Amino acid sequence: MARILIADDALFMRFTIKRTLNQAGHEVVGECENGQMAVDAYATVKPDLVFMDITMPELDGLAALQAIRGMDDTARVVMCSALGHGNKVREALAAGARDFIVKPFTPEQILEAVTKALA
Amino acid sequence: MHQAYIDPFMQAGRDVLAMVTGAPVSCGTVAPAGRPLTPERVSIVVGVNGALQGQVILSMTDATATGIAGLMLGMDAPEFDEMAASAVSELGNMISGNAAILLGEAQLHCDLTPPTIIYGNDIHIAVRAPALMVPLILPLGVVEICVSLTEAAA
Repeated sequence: MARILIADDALFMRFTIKRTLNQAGHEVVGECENGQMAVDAYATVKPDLVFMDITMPELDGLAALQAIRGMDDTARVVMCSALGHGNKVREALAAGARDFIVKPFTPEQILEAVTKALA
Repeated sequence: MHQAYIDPFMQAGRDVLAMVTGAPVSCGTVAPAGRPLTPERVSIVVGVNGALQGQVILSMTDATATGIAGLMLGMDAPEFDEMAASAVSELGNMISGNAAILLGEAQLHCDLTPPTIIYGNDIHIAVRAPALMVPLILPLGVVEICVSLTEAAA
């Protein structure tokens, strides 16, 4: 089972993603409300995977993804967003995201993305 | 405002609400909204920029918002607290985001602001352009979607 960092500015999303991951036996090693917190937390806790929203204050998810991959080019990051049009998906994958899922998503979709990213 | 601009929000609203609540959702009739808007007690406002500019406002009663939040959370939400507010705020984000995907497929590429939640009585929301409103009808209440969008100047 994996150690996973969650970054999403919405309390509701952090709660539901954490519950799904915990129920599947994963350990949530941190919850971040913005991209800068995610970058800082990544350096500290070195998670196996980051599950990150795109639209966040201070530093958005795409910029945080680039910063994390700049620190660790093996970092595994799954991006999510309600705004899942082609440009965002392409930008995220080009910046090194392992997967991209569009909100709303089911618990099964979260776990499928996590499994795929950890493979 | 062109009715075509509200159609993606109606479709996304119906699909997202059905998915997150697990309940059937039907659409009422699209009609002009008054100006200023006088929403129900819980409103979620999302700004739209890009090919189209303006606002999208979701509006519902306390009871409907609390009921939807409970279904989204998979647990009873006895009051409209911080978690319930976050859930319905995210609902506005999901509906607008999914609508933006549909607009993008029609070559109307738009970005969205993070949702702002407004909670209270006797709220008036000023919109720059005439708005259209469509009620989405669920077993636990009605979610009104008001869309006020204009084409960006060339």
